[in-house]
Amino acid sequence: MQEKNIQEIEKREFLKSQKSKISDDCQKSRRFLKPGKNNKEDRINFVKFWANYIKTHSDEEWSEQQNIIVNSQIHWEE
Amino acid sequence: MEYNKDKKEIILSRKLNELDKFALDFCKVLEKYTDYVIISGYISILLGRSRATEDIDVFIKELSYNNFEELYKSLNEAGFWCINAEKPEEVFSYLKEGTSIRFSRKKTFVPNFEVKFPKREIDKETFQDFVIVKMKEGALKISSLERQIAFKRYYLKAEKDREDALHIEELFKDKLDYGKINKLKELIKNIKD
Repeated sequence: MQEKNIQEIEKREFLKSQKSKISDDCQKSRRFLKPGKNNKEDRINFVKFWANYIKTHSDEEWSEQQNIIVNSQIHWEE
Repeated sequence: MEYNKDKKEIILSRKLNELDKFALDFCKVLEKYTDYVIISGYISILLGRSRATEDIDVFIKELSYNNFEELYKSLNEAGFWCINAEKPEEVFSYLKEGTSIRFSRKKTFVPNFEVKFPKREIDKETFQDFVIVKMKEGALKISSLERQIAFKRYYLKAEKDREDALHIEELFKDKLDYGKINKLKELIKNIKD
């Protein structure tokens, strides 16, 4: 039981350190979104910017952000 | 996200949203009765596009009335209702006429699944031109990425559709078959609605 708890703590600490590492890496290699000259160009730039984010980050990371948009539109009746 | 072109599969480890859960729940019932393939906007959303949608379009292979009745009953038991009509024979008649029917979770209207039989030959081909998206919680059958791009860019053409196509292209550009996209583009030019 105690061994299991220690393993859990170690796992949590490892995940925490990984998360912090990802955050640091993000800051170091931060990319910027090029503003578009008009709405259409701006939207296209963002599609490319976001696609690049997806390619360079884990599925868990980008989907957590995307889910805010998708879930905000859905309200199931309890 | 890993796309294996030869295996026609995408391995996706995303956190599911309510739309994904809705799609998985619905298709889990659907696939017991007929072949299906998801088309249109939800594909790009599943693959990360930052927008929402009110419906998920799906082609199903034609099935007999008896099989449809069983499917209808199972969907009902799984918590879905049809928002076009209540009686299965009436709902089936819409499908046979070539119109689409919509299912949502009971007591709600959005999001919904827009279900239809493919009419045109180019649409029927979608059943052979697909990709399986595998997630921990289940799998979904979607139309091929090239087909998605071609239809969005050269047939639907609205701004959101062009952006959906761009999203998929940006994600998978190294693995896409551009010859296939161009071939579909030519076929799409000949579609008469």
